[in-house]
Amino acid sequence: MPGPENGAEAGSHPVENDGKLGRCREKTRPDNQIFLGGKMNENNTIIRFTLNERIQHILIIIAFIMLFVSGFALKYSNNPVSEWLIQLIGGMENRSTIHHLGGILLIVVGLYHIFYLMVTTRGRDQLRRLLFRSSDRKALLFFKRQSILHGRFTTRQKLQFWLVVGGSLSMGASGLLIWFHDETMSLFSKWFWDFLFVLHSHGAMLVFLVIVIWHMYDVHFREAFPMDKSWLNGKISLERLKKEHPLEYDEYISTHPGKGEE
Amino acid sequence: MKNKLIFLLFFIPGLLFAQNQIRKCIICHQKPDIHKVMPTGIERSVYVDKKILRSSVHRNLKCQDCHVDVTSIPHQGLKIGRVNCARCHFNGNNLGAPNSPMYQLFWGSVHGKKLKAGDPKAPRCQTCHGGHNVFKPTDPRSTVYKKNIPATCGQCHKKELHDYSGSVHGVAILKKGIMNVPVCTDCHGKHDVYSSNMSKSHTSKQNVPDTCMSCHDNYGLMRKFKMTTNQADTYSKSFHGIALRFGEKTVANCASCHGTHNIRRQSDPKSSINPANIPKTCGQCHKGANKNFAKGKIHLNPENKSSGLVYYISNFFFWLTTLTMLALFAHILLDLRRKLKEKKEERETHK
Repeated sequence: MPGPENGAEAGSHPVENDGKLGRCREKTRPDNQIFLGGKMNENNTIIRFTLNERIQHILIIIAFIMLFVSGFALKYSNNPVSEWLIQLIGGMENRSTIHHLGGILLIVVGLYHIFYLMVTTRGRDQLRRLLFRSSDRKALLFFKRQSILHGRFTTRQKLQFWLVVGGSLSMGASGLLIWFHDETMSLFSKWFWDFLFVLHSHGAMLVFLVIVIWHMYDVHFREAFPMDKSWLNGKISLERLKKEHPLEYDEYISTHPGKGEE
Repeated sequence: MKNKLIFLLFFIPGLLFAQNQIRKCIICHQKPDIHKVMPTGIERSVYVDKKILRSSVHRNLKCQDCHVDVTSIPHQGLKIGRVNCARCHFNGNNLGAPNSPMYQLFWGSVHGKKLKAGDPKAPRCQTCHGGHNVFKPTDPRSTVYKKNIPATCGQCHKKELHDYSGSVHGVAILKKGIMNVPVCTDCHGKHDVYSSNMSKSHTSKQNVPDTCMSCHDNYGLMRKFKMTTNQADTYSKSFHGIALRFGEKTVANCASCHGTHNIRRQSDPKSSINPANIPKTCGQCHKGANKNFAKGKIHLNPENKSSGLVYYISNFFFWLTTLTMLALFAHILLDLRRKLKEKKEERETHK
């Protein structure tokens, strides 16, 4: 098998056998007919994200929306839209409450996610697959696209994941310190709090750009316009799996003989 | 020569006539020890300084024009009440008194309301403007001349006058004679003085920043005193300023930290914003405030180099965000172009 994320890893960690990733939809047609003639059935899908992961993702989306809306309303408070929004939710105190609740949600889901990646078998496997490898180095150094074969996560997806991790950690930590301003200023100083506030405010814009703009483009616009439903049902078609994650596809085929043919 | 004679013909009788107005009354009332005994037994001076009256704005009026209940001389048995200024001073009069809505405003003010309610301490027109010594506000002899206002208000508001006299504004006008600084009426209003609890008051929680900014946001005026409008800008952009604008009542406004009548320079040890007093000042709202609250600027402008580290971090992030944005949009556009190209090729091969 080509590429660094080869079968040796799949062999040593036969996660797909736990039945989660590999769970197949009931098919109406016999398997061996699917790939014949080069056309694949759209209904031939596998579960890419488990229900647990989808719930985590949706909770993070809710937290992000709450945080971005209430946060940018303060950052750009002179904007008429912000003024309308703050008055709509009933003033600055409610705005702060919404922002704090969003922060708590983000931190709780974040901590659970760390637990999930560290403790569960599936989580540990996913984490391993999220690490950067030499194929990603090639992608980052603008090698030709066709020469790089991606596994479960493409380089862009890995980057986005780690940017979310970094962004959430820094925004969460600075946010907590800003929230408990009296303690922060007593322990450190006023200028440290100002520093955190600038960090939090500008960091939010960066996170917004990377997470929302880039991720949304990448997931929904690029491959599956107008929307990739896998964030809701967790499914991906084998056709797309083969095209976008060829190594994962190979892995899947090798552990599920009879599901498809090369 | 002829013209001069005609002028004198009209001018001299006019002059005599003007003096004639007060001539009879003044015979008695110019004696310094003249007084009347009030029904309560208190003696009250009824002395009138002829010189002051003759130069006042009411110099052309007869005594009886104001003292309407004095109908005979001597007037021992008569009941003589207070002068009612509203006989002439109402909006829309044609009696020579200035026309302005201020007369009506007074009755809505904290003073007017108390007067209506029968408070004996409540001020009337005469309390501030004087009796026989009414001059234009621009006249230095006037009780409502800018420099005299603190003393006028201070007749009743003694503590406020004491605090104000030591403040940066009070010292400037009372001791140094700088006329640009605010006196009582500049912040509280003149006839429209309201209690600070009322939202329409110039000194209500919501209106304090606007009141202070009427000077402190005036670049030209601040430059005179080698100051900047930085304080006004940074407050408006700060969390306190934004929250106040949206109607929060618990956040700090200018007066919460700087004080009201006793505003002093930061370098003054008595100032509420002196670094030594910052823990106490911030501690009014922020529990556990200590000397670390004074480390760093309160009126911080991240776009100003004097903000130090925060300025550099802010600048760094500006460029980082800009470059990220550019890279991101470039990436998206290039990627999209390539995607479309691939799709087109795919379609062509299928044909």
